[in-house]
Amino acid sequence: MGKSHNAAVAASAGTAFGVRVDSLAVQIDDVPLLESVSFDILSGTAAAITGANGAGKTTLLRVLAGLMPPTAGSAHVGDLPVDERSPAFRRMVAGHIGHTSFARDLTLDEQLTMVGVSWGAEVPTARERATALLDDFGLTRLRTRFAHELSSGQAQMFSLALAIARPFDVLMLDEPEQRLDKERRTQVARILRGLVAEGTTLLFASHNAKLIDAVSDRTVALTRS
Amino acid sequence: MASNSTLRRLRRLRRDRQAQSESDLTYVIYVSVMLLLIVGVPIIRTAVLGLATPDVLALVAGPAAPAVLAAITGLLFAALVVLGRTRGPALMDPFRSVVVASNHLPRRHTLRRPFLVSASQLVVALAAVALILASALAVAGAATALSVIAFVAATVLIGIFASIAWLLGQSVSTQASQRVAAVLAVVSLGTAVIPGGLVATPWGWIALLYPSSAFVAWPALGALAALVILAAFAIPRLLDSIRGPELTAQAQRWSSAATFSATADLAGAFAEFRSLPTVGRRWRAVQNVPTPVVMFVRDLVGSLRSPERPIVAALSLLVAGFLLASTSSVPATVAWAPALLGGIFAFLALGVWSDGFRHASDTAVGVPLYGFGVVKEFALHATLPAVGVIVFVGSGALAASVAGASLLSAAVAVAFALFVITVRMMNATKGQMPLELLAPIPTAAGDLSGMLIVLWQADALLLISVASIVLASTWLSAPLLLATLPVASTIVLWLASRNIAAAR
Repeated sequence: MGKSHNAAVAASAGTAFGVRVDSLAVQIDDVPLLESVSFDILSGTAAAITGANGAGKTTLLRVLAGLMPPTAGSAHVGDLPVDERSPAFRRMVAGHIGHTSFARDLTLDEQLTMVGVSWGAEVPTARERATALLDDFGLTRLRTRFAHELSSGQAQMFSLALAIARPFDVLMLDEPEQRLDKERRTQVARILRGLVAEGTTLLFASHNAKLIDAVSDRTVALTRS
Repeated sequence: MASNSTLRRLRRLRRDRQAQSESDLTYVIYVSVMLLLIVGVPIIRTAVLGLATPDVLALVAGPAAPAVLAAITGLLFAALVVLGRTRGPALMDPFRSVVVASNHLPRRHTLRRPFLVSASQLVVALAAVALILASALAVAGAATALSVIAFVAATVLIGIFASIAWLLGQSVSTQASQRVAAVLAVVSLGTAVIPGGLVATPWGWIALLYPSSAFVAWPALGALAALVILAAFAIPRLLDSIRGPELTAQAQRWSSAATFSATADLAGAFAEFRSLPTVGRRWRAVQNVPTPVVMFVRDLVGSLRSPERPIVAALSLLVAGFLLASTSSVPATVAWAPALLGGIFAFLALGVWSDGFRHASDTAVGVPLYGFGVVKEFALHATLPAVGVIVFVGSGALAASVAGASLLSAAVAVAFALFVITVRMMNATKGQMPLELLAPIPTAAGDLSGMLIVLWQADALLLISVASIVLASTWLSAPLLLATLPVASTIVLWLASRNIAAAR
């Protein structure tokens, strides 16, 4: 999949874009956090953001998720300009960027169910979806555990499960491979590829070449001058 | 004994280490003495004179005062047994705790000194309170000098016994400590109201020794002394039965809390002591019911998974309701005291049911996790505390009205506690302290940045304290208060929404 990078580059007019970025940059007090970058990602494809530490991968994801404003340029997710104040935008974008806040008093399956219910699902439907997610991420035997009882790798898997427990069109993940062993990384790659096959636009930052190769249709390399 | 010689060597090593200097100890003594003279003495004098005023004296020298003291003392024992599980008296810094937990020396030797230090601090604190109270009664002519001496001596004995109860809490399991505390609380409240009940319990014996102009109940003092001597024999066994992992966990928790406090992160410090869920993992927290009920059940079940927290919250809200409503049944000059205490009790108790607000606040600043929307999520999480306020504060306030408070003041108490929920919401949205506050503010009186940090950290509690005192003001009528509180709540909620917007 990683070999067909160019196939996913949106070039032709009329193509449905998942993400469009035009001269986007972020700087604080003249110090650039993200140097000017432009790219497009087709809807229903996966793009990996690569670059050295400090190149601005997390900053780019945070800007695209509406968590911080850019100092220059513009970005669109789907047809919508990035603006987290817009309910339609919030409905469209899911993600795991930085620390995930777990509900300390709910078990894993209840947390996933609660996320589904909050987006309008009936409780039985949300419960079924939670069971399926726990199964996909290999957390079924931990379903009645509380989050503080998880190992760091299990917590990372659960964070990813939480991120996709809700409806979304575009998924943004910051280093999903963090703290995962080889087997879990393969598992995550399979899940992510499955989401893309179902029509999700995926944008993820990663340092792991195998994950990038297994999941992404193209890469966006960030550099620092 | 081999263990004694080993301990002696270890202590000598510690004493002789480079970092330790005699001037450290001298400085601590100097600061303590100066603080006592400059700050302590005026406060003690003001407290004695304040207690000796006619209005207050009518309460502290009233016929119900000994029974109230007995109940408070019994509840103190119960509280200390519970506290032992969080912060026991035999505690050291994390490094020494690890050493003690992992070495071969009997804990009756290694933990004796920290226990004695903690016990001494508790005894001194209780004796100081007793001395202030007894002195006030003596100044007002309501007690003889001999009864004052006997009362303070009895308080010292009670302090020692309370330290042993505290140690008991540290050495038994959480469940056992909760059961012991529950029994103590029920018995202490029961014996305080049952005629003749004071004769049967240690906390009743100190009540019998309450300073007065009557004869001193020497047998009660003798019984207390005998009880303390008997209980002291249990100290070595209790020290031995403290578990190593518990010891290190407590030390680590307190060390982390101290670090959070030193960096002015009081929320982080409190979070260290918020117990994690331990039971009910198979209870269904998410039920197939309408959304507002889903969230209420979710919060209720989640809360019950750390059972001691909702129990403490419910009891505290009962007390808060009683105190807040009592402002109309005590003399106007002292009405601020139950109002202030009630407000603080309500604020602290509602912290238990603010987990939902804290979680909503945490998730509000990231990529949306829940589909409710921030405002609706906060509102849904407010259901449980609101029901808790209506049930428990309402019950406490009604009890106060039975005891003489007006029904209108009971309604004000509930309305005020509902206002406290909105302050809790605002508090949950505060986020990290702005770094600008750490910048020094040089003035002729010194660096004022510390004051700003304290103000920022304690703003919610200060707001509640001021509002509680206003609640007791005679110039505000109950209907006016009932009309004002919703307006105040709206302003607080607006501030909370600003906090969320700023954090994004």
